[in-house]
Amino acid sequence: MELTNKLKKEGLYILILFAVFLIIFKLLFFKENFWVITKTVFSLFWLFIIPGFALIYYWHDSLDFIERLIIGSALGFAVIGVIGYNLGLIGINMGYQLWIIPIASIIIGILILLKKRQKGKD
Amino acid sequence: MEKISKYLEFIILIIFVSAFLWVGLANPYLNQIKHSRPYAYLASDAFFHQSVADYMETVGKIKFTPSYEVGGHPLVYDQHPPVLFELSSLLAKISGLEVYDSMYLIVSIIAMLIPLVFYLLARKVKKGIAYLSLPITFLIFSKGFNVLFFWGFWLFVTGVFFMITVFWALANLHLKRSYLLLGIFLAATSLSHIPETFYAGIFIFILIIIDIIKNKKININLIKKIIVSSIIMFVLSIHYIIVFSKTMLLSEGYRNVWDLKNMAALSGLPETPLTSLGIAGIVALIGFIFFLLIKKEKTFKVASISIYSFSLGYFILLGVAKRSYIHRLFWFVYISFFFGFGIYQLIRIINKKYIALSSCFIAIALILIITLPLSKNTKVGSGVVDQDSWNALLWIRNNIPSDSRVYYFYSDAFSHKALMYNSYHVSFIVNVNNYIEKLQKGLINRRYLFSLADSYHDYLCPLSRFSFGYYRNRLMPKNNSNYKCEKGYRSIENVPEEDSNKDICDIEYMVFTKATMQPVLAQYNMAIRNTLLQSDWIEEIYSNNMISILKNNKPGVDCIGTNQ
Repeated sequence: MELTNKLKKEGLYILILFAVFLIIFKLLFFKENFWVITKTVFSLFWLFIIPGFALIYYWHDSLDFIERLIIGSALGFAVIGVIGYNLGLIGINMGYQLWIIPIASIIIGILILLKKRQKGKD
Repeated sequence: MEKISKYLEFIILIIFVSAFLWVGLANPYLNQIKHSRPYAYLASDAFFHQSVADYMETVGKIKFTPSYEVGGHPLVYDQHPPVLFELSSLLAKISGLEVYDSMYLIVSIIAMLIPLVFYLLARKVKKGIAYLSLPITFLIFSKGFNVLFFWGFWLFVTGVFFMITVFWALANLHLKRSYLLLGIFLAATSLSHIPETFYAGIFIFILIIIDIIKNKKININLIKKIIVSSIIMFVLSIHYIIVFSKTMLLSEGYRNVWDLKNMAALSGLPETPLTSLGIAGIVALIGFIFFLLIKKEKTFKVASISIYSFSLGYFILLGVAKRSYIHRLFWFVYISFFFGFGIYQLIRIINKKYIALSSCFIAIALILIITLPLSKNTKVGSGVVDQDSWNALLWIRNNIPSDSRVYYFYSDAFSHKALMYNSYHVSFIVNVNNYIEKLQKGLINRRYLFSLADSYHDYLCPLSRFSFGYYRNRLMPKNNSNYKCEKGYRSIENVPEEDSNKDICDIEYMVFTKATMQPVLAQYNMAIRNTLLQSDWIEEIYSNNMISILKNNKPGVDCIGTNQ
């Protein structure tokens, strides 16, 4: 239960962070139209921040939110870069990679959580 | 109090991120994300990375390099580390940005994450120190240091980023299954820039030796973790490591350069002696002295990472030249912990009670004080390519047959050879010295020296599924069916005389620039162009304010009326 609450709370933080990034980008790139900014920020979150944050959740009890957010983003860049390159070598086109890797990372993150929750119950 | 401290941390991080993106990205990008051409690109390297990533994005994977960048050879393995190309291509694909925009965006965000990872390391000691470590990192945008971004040392930036994440993983080896993090970060480093993997390896080796000396026994658990991480790294980067070992390792390898006095010039970088750190360096030195005096165990990890990273700038003493000297451009980030530590201790002497709060406010004040004057350093203008030259490249890409070679007469923009890759054609640019010599003689000759736009020392190609070979020539010979990928390492042979000392009447497509910084060069361009246009079979097929492209419909026929 505690884990679910934590996840809900941190999910909300990520949403707030998305909104904050939208505002920062709009202020910094004020000559750009909002649709381009939204797509860019969404892409950054989809490709790097969310997959990294999902995967780093394995260490959620040892690392606090800020640490997971920063190092999780770094992990997102690493996973997308490394796994994407290898998927390309076996013939999987980038058009698929940009969906496969984030979705797989999120699924792995959820599986880790389920396993952890199961362990907590045991 | 804890809640306030948490909010304060969010606030300072948001200020840091905003200020970094402002100085590093929004400023050079003139507050736009999308541009009609590569913006703030000031050197050939930048165009080279952009053009490779652009090709990768088009073909959808990273394996072979575009044939027009290797003299028209098909299936040449791309020997540059792939991670930055992969990241920029994927971002471009999903966001709809052009690769030249997405690549700069990725590099800026990665550069921003480097101080943040250092921040995490400093945070383990005290949050106040971490806050105070952030402002100094903006100095990487000061003059001389900011070539990191505008000259296109982007693979290096990516390599440093993942090297620092490796250090973070090493500082967190106590975490359960930490070898997974270490393994993936090591793999990312090796796929981003090999020298940084090597430096990370040395650090790991030093770590193991220190551990053995300290505990007087081998820590099997540590060794196991390192071995498993290394296996993960090799599995994930084996393909690139093989390509690297058969190309750059052979052509560049160990640099063996010992001329320490001229290291900056030899490395093609601005002079960055220790004194270039200025007042910030003095504050960091004070922090270092405090560290030596206090010697708290909590500070050892981050301090040793800082000292080691800083010392990379002195690995020139090992003969590795540019691969070490370039790390000086990140010195302000590497010493950020000591800078924060120094100020923190000074504040502590004055006011112990509200130290966390005062650290935060001083950090914010310092960010403002440092970034405001710095912002003018990153307004570098639109870069080396003007809109007309860019439009001409796109026109060539879409209208000239892909197997045709294009010859460029003098141009300020195209003297950055990699820019011409954006035409998707094998390109040659006139040799400037030879051109000026002929201009000074006031002659329009039939023959001019041209050099091929290419970027590699060797062309690695597949012989079969698991074996490799090399191409012999820099330029793919036309109509030679015996020419193929061959066994055994060889560096490529120069472009043959008939292609480099070119009879302009033999050229099918010629590009002339109408305006240059030195007007006389443009006048000479125009004089040649006008002479050529006097032949009925030579026509202008494209023109704008800057560029004129001619097509010769009878290559080989005398087009100047002289055999000079």
